Amino acid sequence: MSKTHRLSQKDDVMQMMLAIKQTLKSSKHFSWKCTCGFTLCFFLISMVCISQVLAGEPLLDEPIKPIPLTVDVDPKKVALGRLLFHENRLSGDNTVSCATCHNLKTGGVDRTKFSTGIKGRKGPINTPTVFNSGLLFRQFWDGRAETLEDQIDWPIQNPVEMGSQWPDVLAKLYDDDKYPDMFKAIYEDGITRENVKNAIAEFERSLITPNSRFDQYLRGDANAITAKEKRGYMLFKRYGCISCHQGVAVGGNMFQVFGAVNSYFKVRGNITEADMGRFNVTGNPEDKHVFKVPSLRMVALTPPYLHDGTAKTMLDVEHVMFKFQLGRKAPLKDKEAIVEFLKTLAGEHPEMKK
Amino acid sequence: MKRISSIFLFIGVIAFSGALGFYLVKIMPIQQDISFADNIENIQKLQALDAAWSLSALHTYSTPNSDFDEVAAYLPIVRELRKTLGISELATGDVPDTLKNKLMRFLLIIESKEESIEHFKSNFAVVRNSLKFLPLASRVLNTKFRTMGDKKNAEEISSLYERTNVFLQRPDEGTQVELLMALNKKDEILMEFPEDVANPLGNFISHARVLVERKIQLDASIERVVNLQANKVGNELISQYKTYYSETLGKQYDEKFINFIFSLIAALLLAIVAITGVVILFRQGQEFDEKLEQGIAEKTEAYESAASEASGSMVDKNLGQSMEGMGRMVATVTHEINTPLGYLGSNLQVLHNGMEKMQTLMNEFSTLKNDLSNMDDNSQISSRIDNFSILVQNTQDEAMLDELPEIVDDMQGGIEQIQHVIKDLGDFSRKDRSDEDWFEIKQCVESALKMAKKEITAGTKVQTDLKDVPEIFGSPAEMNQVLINLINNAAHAIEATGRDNGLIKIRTSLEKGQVMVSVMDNGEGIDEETRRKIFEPFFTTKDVGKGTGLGLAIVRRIVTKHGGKVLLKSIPGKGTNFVFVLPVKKKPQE
Repeated sequence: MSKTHRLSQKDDVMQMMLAIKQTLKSSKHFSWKCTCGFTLCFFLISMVCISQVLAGEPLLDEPIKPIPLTVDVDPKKVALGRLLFHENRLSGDNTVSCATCHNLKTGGVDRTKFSTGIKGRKGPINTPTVFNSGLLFRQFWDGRAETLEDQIDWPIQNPVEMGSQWPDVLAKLYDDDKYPDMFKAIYEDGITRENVKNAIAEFERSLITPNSRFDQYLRGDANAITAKEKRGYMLFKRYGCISCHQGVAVGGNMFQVFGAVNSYFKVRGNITEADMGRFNVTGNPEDKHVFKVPSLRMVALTPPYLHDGTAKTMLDVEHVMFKFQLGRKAPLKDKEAIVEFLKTLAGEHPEMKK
Repeated sequence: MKRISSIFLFIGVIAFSGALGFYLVKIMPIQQDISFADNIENIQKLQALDAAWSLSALHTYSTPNSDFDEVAAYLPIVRELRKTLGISELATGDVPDTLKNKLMRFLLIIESKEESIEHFKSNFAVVRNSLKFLPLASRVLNTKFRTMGDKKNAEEISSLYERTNVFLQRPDEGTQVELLMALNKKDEILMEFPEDVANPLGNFISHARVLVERKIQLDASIERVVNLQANKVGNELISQYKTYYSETLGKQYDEKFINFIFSLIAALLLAIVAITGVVILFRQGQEFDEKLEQGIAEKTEAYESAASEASGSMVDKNLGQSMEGMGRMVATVTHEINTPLGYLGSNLQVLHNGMEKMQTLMNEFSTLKNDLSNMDDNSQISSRIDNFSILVQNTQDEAMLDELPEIVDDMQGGIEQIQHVIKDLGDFSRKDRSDEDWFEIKQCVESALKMAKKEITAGTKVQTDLKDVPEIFGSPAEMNQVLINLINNAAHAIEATGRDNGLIKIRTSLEKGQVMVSVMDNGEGIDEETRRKIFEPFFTTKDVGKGTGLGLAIVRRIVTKHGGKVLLKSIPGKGTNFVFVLPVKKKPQE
């Protein structure tokens, strides 16, 4: 999400509020207020009825929304951010870049259980993909960073990831031939911590994967996905996966407790700090084992799965999800159909082919 | 000449010192909090966003298949505004602690809103799934126990399911503990059952437990989301801030004025005598004084108009109140509709499964028929028939054929329930019944009594005292509705006391040139607090599922529309008298 993009969202909200305000203002009289209220009410009810009657039919108004085809970003910043994203000198010993763990050619992850930082050190949690991360409502599994910019501080300074300090990073960039000029051309104050973060974040915001086969289906091309994939989507909704995995990113807009119906950690055992999830951020007991619901957009390309990286295939995750999150059983053929559906979610980005 | 030049010098000194005094006073800076208007605007924006956010969450709550993108989209905007205010002059500058604390409190409320919204989303997603699945889980389990001949467990599961449903409609912590204990007890004996029973039993227990545990949390988080404390605290903050601002502005002008007088006196001392100079200075001083007053007034007015403009473009003052009503409305309607929809959905799923099985059976039957006509070998035939009857048996077991009529009945009930809610809403807002004409109120009373008959319990007497009154101009159908609602309420109030000597009295008369209609009962009466809210839409004292809380709101709307008034007298425990008066209009001569 670029600045302008965010602005337009702001406008939308403002406009919505303006509409509400006008409705209420124009309805000084009690009965008018009621009529307005009930028009809204009828609208809701007819939505309820219609969607019940048509459940299972291909509808454009689905709980999953297509990714916008373009994103409004500053190309200069993206170019600079791309260099920085692949820059080993951001790490303490000049061996690790963002791209080391978030390999763009392999779906924005390194496809290992836990990624390896400097000096062979292992991280505590599975690396999520960087693709579509601009669509997520917060960053990290526990949502501790509120923006992509904020997120960057952690890996740079984490001793098991890039193990670096900002003054060192900035000094190394100053000594480089190209960076000082590139920064000056974009930012008045040149190389600063904020500007480095902004450039990388801008590049990350450009990493959306639109035009997936499923998005084409959502945009009205009924033949963009096969009958089996459609059945998979129907099952995805019917079994309740959709409750959390919805919206543009098919997830990534809410938190959920891992073990919603049955306790996952009791069965798996050996609880680590990372397993405590959002509790580590808020300290609220209600947030124990609560994680950001991950986006499923790139799921087909980004094994292994779950925050602890214990599920090797999509089918493995489904077994876990059905048992602990949905608390119900499904025949294997249903789960396989859902896998087929999930494969239609990843879209395109030039970086994936480079 | 010498004398004249010394006078000139004297006047020159006076003029110079006076001018210097003025200049010094003039350049003395008035400290202006330039961020005042910005801060006010940001506070008001946050108030509006907070209200709109609640609305958005409620919208998500009441829309099936909704996604959380919209609710999540508020987060960055709210956060940015919150941060801006957190580092503003108001939070860090030289302002009184009470004002700072108020701001902190306001920001804290907004921050906790973010958390409440997160908890609402998580709880809602889980509860939504379990609500949908529990009826199916209980049915499957029930059938399993019954085919095993385990009547005791089948009944226990039905009762647990019923109790869970009752709890969901009226969650309270006592029942919650009881239910959790009952579920744990079942959980302990899970291992005693074979796997094909343990699995559905485990599913049932897990989902019932999720609902019992999370429903209270969900309700609490919705309560927190709908609660618009930010609106109230924000208003207090704004008014305190405005008062403070105009006060400090005034104080600074006061100081300036004192300094001005001081310089004036200095000039006076310097010049000792020079009446002309004093006169001039004095006149200018008066002018300045006036300008000062005017300046303060202008400043305050400008900021106030800017602020009110900002508030006008952002949020209506009444939004908070309307939101409360809206919240109640959405919650009621959602609940009334979602409950039947829940089992409609899962019943359809059961039907769907049944149909699939039936279809397989039909296909098998037609192939069997073909095969049989081509077969001679008896043993082969009988083995095929055996296979077929196994299939029939399976289908009967799994498709729950004998339950199908019951399932369809259930669904019919659910649909009726939804129709009922929609009819109530329809009566409330309908326009097509407003065909107006001259009519006799007497006839309305009679037809309303006929229609409300089934609500009146057997022991209740109905007395009517219908005097001849002039005809009313308006909608007879609507007036019927008014009377039906009032009679129904009277009947319910009597029913609630359980007495068998109930009495409903209906009177019409002409009082002070107005038609008066009264419906009196000797039912349970209405207490003071209820009386205040009784005409609000969706306010109901009846059990969930029994009333939409629209009856009296409809009464008031219709009577008001006819130019009349509704009055209410009630003594708790003794009875209630609803009276409405309608104006008499002159009937045009035909």
